[in-house]
Amino acid sequence: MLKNPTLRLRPPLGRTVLVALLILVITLLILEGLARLPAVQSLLIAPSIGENHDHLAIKLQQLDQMAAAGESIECIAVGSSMIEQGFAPAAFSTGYEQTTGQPMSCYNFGLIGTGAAEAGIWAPLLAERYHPRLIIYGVSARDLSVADLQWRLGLDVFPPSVRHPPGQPSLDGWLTNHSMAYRYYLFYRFWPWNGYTARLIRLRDYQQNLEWGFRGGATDQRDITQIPDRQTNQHIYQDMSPYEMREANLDGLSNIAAVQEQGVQVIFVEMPLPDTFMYFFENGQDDYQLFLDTVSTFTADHGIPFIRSRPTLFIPDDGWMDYTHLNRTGALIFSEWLGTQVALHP
Amino acid sequence: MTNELLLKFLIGVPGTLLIYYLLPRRGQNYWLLLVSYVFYVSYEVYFGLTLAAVTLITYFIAHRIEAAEGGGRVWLWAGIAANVLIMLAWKYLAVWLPAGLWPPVQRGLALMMRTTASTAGNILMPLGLSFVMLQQISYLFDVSRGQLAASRDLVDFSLYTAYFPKLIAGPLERACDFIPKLATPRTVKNEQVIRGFTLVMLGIFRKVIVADPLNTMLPTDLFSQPGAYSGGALLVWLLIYGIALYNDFAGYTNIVRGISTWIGIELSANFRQPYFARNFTEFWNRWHITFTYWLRDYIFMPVTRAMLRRSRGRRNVWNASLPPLLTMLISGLWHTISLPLLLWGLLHGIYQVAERLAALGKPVTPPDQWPLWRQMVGMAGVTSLAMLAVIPFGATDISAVGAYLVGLVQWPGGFLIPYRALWLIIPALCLDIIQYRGGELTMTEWPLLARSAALALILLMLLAVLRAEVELTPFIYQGF
Repeated sequence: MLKNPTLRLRPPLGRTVLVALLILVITLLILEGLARLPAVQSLLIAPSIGENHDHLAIKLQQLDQMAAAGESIECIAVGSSMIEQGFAPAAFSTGYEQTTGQPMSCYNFGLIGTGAAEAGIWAPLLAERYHPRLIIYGVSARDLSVADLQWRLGLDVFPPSVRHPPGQPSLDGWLTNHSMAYRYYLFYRFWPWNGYTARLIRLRDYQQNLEWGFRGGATDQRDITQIPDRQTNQHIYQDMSPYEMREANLDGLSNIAAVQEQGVQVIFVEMPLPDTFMYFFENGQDDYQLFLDTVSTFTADHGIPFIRSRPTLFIPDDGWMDYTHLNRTGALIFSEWLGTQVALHP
Repeated sequence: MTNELLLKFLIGVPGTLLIYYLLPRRGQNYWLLLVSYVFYVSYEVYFGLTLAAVTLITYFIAHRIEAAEGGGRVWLWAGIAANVLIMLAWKYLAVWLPAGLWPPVQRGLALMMRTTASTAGNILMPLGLSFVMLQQISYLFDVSRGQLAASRDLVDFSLYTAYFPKLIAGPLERACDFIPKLATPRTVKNEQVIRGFTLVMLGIFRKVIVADPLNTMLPTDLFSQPGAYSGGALLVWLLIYGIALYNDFAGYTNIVRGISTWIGIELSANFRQPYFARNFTEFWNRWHITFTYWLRDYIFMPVTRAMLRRSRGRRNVWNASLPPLLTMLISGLWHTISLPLLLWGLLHGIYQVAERLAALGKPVTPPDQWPLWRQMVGMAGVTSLAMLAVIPFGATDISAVGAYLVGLVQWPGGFLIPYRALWLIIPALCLDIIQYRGGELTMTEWPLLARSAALALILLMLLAVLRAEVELTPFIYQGF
């Protein structure tokens, strides 16, 4: 018995709390069991890894399911929204087959709102987890200059290994690595937010129409023959003028190149851009040439093929969603062409 | 935005209690006073200075009242005026600081408040000052009426004013009830620990699990751009806002009452399922109860007595109308001097007047003795009208109130059912039904397994909210 002039406690005390904790633990274990059942999983969208990104969890889940089903993932294309919107795996395979006589299954792992730094984090992880024989990195000038893009967009695409680095154990990291129920909770955790239901409907639609990581491409198009308006394209101007390549993005290139050490071939491809894109640069073509020179030197130093899309590839004016992204028409043209080019680098 | 107040409670209370239990009674009062001021000053230093000034002024004026003949009416009104003026000065300093002061004073104030004259709009009134003012006035009145001797112990009186669990948003404690508790030894037994824990958990349920997510679901422009929503949507969001408002304040009160119970000082209940009230008299005995009692004792009753002295009898229409109307208008203005809040007070005044006029000359029957159908109709009517009055409570200006009302009557136009909100509203409603039928802490008498399961459910729901990154909004009433 604890006895002082004010606090006079006598046993038993706290039985309710203990039994409640026991019930809570049992309930959580039941939920964990349920979250591992395929029947339950089919009702849910995707288990998260703690990211705040609309598509990442869905793409990882699709890759996991394909790997579990024994599908051969020969190649993975990584990059930003330019890959996400512009890389059509089926068209790529067709192009590849035209040259080699063999199709190539290639997954679109383009992530909206990322730059070379993030691609450099994901490329080695994807190579290690899914063992493709080829990683294609779709690189653009903006991938190297963009800074704090995730912060600006409120995104977080970091995998648990980055968010919870080894040697710095955390409950969140442990749960993300070991609990499926927790990962599903992370996906659904924004349930009180406005627009949440609409977001779920949108993501369910995205998931159901995702084939090899490609949603099918945008159907809308914009006139990209005009000089881009500074007001409406302010965020792009911000990244390109003045054009400065960031250290973190250059490190990202190195991380992608390092994937070769895992026995995986790496190819860089220059993402197509309309001619009017040069207006975003303070020094026009000179700045763009600086980007090309940097990537050319880098790839040459690392023995990586660098496929140039300009000026060989022609994307018609109706093939653009905006000044930086291909629409469906453009994506099909680009991807098929890319397939033929990749086939030249066996 | 995080809930700074809740975080301060979570971090500060365990350490405070640990030391508190080790001290003798007198030391405990010093300790609580120190903790209360540290807690208050942790917001802004000028909060503490203002509180000390208000305390000293009231303390000394109470002695003058006691020493004077005939209740010291001059000193009483001087004390009331001083308190009201200090509150008004702070409340409206933000408006008139830029141009209205002698420049050196203006600069000094700006420096003290870590702002500049040009950003005076950022000045924050000391939190809870409106509540402090009401308690000071009640103390002065009680001393003047001879119901309470002026406190001779400045520490105890200062603690009555500054006691941290009730400092920010009540409950409003009467000095004649509270100060004697400070002079007697406190005992915390199993019963108090369990009672306090239950109150804190119920408070967390209402505030963190129900009110904060509901507030997060509310469209941010609901009260500023009501024209953007259909009539159906406006109705549903209004109900959700009304439920969130109630759970927010009731949850806050439960948490501070629970903490105070662990200290050994019981604080008054503030809410008893107000949306189950069957008439408006009952509603105000269930909503912000301690404030209602303050208004009853220091506004309503004196006004009623004054009108009765002029005779004309209890059945006189003016005698039945004016006291509640005046009381509710003052209640609205106490929250904030603004047209929407004045309208809020007016609406509640009109509701009460209508109820009293309808009952004028008829025998009073308690709602418990009404037929069931009348009780149900009464509940529905009171809740509907109370919800209608919530519009000016949430709106920032009177034109938005008008736009909201216009939007509501433009029916139909799309009916929105936020199913997610039902996951919160239904458990909150269940809790209300349980408490309505069995009493506030009836769950402590449940069998072990049942009360443990209820606690486990609260913890599970808390887990679902913890990473939801909901807007942990400041307690709504701490703004007054």
